[in-house]
Amino acid sequence: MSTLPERLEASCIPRIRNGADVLGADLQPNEAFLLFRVDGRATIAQLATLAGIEEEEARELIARLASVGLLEVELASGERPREAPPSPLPTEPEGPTPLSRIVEEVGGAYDPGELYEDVQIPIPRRKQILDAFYTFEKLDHYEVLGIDDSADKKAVKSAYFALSKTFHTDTLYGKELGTYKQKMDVVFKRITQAYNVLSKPAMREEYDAYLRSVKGTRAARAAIDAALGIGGPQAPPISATPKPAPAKPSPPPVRPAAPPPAAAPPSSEEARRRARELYARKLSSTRNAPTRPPPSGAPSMPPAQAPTPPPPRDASQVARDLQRALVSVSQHTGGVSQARRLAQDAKRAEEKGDLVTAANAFRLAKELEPDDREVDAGLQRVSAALRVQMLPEFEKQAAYEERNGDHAAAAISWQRVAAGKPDDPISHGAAARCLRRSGGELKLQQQLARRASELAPNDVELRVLLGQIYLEAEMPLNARRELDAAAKLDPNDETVKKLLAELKQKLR
Amino acid sequence: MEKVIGIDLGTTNSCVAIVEGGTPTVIPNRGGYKTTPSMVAITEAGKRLVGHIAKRQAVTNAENTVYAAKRLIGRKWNTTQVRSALATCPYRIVEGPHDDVRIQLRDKLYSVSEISAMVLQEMKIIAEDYLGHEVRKAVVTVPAYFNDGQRQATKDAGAIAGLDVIRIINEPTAAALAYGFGRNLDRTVAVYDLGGGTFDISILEIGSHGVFKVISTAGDTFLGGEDFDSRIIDWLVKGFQQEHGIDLRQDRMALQRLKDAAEKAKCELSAVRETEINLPFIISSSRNEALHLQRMLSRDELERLCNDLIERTIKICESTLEDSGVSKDDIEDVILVGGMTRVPKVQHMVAGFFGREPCKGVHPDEVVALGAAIQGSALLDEQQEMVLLDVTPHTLGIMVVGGFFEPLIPQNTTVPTSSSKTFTTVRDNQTAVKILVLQGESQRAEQNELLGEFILTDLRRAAKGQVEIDVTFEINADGIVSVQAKDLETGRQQSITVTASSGLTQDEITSMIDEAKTHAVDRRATEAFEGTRQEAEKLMGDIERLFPQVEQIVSGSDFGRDAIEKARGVLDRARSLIERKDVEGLKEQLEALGRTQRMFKGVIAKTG
Repeated sequence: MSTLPERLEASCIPRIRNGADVLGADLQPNEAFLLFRVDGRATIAQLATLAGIEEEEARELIARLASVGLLEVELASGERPREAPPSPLPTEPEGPTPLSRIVEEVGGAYDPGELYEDVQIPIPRRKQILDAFYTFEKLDHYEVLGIDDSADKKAVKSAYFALSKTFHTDTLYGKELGTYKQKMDVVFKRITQAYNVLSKPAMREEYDAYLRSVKGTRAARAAIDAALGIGGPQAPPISATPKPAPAKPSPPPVRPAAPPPAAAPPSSEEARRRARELYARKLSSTRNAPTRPPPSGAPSMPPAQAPTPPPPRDASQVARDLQRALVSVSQHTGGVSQARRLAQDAKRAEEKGDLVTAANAFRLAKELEPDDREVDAGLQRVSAALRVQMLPEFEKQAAYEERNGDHAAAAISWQRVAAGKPDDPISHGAAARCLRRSGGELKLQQQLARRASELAPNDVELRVLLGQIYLEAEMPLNARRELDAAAKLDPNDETVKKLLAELKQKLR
Repeated sequence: MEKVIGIDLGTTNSCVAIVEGGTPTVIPNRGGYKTTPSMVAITEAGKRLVGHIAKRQAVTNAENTVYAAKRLIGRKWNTTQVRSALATCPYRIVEGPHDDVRIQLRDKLYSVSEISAMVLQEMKIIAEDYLGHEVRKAVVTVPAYFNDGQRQATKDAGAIAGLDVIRIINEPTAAALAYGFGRNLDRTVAVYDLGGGTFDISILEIGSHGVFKVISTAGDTFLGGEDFDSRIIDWLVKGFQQEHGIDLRQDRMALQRLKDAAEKAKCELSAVRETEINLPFIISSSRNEALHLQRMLSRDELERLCNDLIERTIKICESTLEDSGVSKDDIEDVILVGGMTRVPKVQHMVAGFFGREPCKGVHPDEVVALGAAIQGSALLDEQQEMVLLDVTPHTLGIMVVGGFFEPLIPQNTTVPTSSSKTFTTVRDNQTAVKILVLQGESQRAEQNELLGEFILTDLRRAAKGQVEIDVTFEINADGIVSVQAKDLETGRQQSITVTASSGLTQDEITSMIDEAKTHAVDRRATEAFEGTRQEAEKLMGDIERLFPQVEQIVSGSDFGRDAIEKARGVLDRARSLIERKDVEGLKEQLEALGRTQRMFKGVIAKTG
């Protein structure tokens, strides 16, 4: 009996459908890129890692490929739904999954101690509060209010006002609220923050531009970040939430009876998406009119072949298998000509100015034909151009993030800018500064600040920054050199004097 | 469900209301009046009188009759507001033991909260007579711009009167609740509240879900009908002085009669264009002959006398709109609250400013009490589908090194809310920090109101700037502020809940601030420039905003032109310092900016 996956989990395994016309299909370069990595054994998460793309993107691509009949998807062994007891109703009905099921599976697990705390709040209301409390931090302002990004002012207000009635403690005045009081306050503050931004045209415009920029440059960011090795797999958080509540929420507890979690912990992007979907559903179930279209992540899949659960394998094994699969696919399909075609596509895209597509196509071609110099040169050329093209966007993102106190995200954005402007002291300095504020890696701070200072040797502030970083890195002699230089540049700088005095004490 | 009353504790009149069967109603007093004068008197026989009965005997017992106590509640002795009350009030105001204000009636001293409690108790009795049973819970309103101390003192008054004040809400907000209650509205409104003693302006959004959200609020706690009255009194006294060479202010009884006559004339002029003020036998001359005061006052003359007061309210409206990012076009209705909004000139100028006729549907004297009753029932009645999202009217923060005020929660932030910031030590081997919690809009700590203080001890010995302390502010829906400081290294923490007014003398506060300088905390070094820049820009913004006005006022004199030139220079220098990111230079420039800003404000205050 074949099982229909409820939705595309990271642990789902796609495979190429029997008789599918892989070569004849009209594919985008990134779709083809991923398709050639599908070996029937790697999970979506593993494919994403291998392809160097974000899991969410992989999931979307797989869904699209499945919808045109090239792929079919099955559940991984660990993620099998609970065995249905023998009953006259042996199979799940096909079609959209019942809402209750999704809620239950995705985030419906409440810590009983928390859910059944001795407070005077009806259980459904408690669930609403807990859902919001554990997901809001990860959502953008629109998602928090459960509205579409085209929602007008009235809709923003209406959504916020409706949510206020759920989360403002006055609506439970005089009741025993226990730990829910603080949770409600945190949630209320978050929805108010979202409302404050979205209800003011100027602030909303600024935020929209930021969101657009972040979303619009996702592919480019992936390409550039992979090359630069910054930022890790997850995108910077979109919400510019300054700081969570004093008491940090613990991760969402899992009900003991729930099925074992997937082998790999979900990335933060995954968590974000889950949160968003869950919350969108909750909102549409609490209110009559769903304001957000259903997420595209869960199209219905063609039924999978009866699977034989593969034994657990390590990553290198997977990589080897994939490599083999790749070679065999390229042999069967004429990988060289495929690479040529991709390279041509890339050039066409490049001519049209679509650098993102071009970069991805070149990357794809290089995978197939790693020694082709023309392809390699093209890739280098296009990614460099892309970095430059994206500069204004990244600069805007960085500035917005820094202004809103989101220093971790700003540090990453400034690094992207710095990569595009290797001779610009400002972005290097800003990257170092933000990294320092967000408690980022000292060594990277040091590199960035040093480069900035090399580029602008007469900038006192950069010297001081570098000095501070050296101090923190327990390199007092280097720190002294920088601070002495700073003191020479501006003998009256109080900060420099203070730091030098501190340093002398340390050296003694 | 337990009954909760709503009380509008006004400067001149108070009003009580209740929600019965879903409908808010004002409760009339025994005389059938819906409002009761906020006056308290002690007779020769030691009997306490409250309300109309106190008002009626005020002329003959001026020294022992208190009116407008609200202007003094929660205030420190050493403030200009108390000084000015001292000059104009016929009753005796004396200094209390904690730099507070006491009122002497006969041979006994009363705190201002006690006087207000007598009025609240009267309102409680009015409600109980009407309902036929005891009332324990109340929602009491205060001007939106009242600070924490004034709110606390009002709450204390409730407790003295035997009332459990379940919530203090702002008068304009209450007015908006009454205006929108049960009407399923969806609009943005402005509430212009000019009462006997205070002026408030609030901008609110009302939603069809029964949600009322305050967007911003501002005001002046010493601007109201009483000031209009004193303008008339001044005019009368001056005229009398010219005619007879006698200063009527020297005689407390004459002053009380003038006050009554001025108020009456002001009210009459809302309906007629001219009225006669006639006070026979007002005083005796040095030759012992009786003198009479008889003058005609026209509406035009009154408007001329009080024009600048109304202008002042309009200016506050203007800056509130600007700060809240709401344009005049967004305002869909203007609600007038307070007896003073009956003055035609006030209505005219408000309509002119907002570009629309104000709403006529609410009763300016009763609407606030109705709103308070509505909020009370919304809190206690689970069936009531209404929620009020209020804001904090003043900025909250702590003192940092150098005596500066570092804001954590800006004014007009929707409550409940919280905010954290990291600070560092300022001296080497500093093992303790003192956190002074302050409220106000000044950049200088000592010019703001001190709400409380606490000490975080046992810090690690380290060079200055090394130990980081996280300070978190929280304001809950009740408006109660709690502050927590945490040593980020050890996790050790200290917190206070600000529940009572500090009750400290100004000297104690000053010495406390001095002493605290050695235990102060500082912004993190990286944030130093940002902080300074923000401070400077706030001052520069103020100066630039006032510039045209001040220029107009002072440009007549050489000295004035010189001052304007200097101010311009100060601004330019600050701008270039910001451009050059010169932290130290900018810090020094702050003083010049502060001086200029104070000078400008002073010019405006003196002439406007």
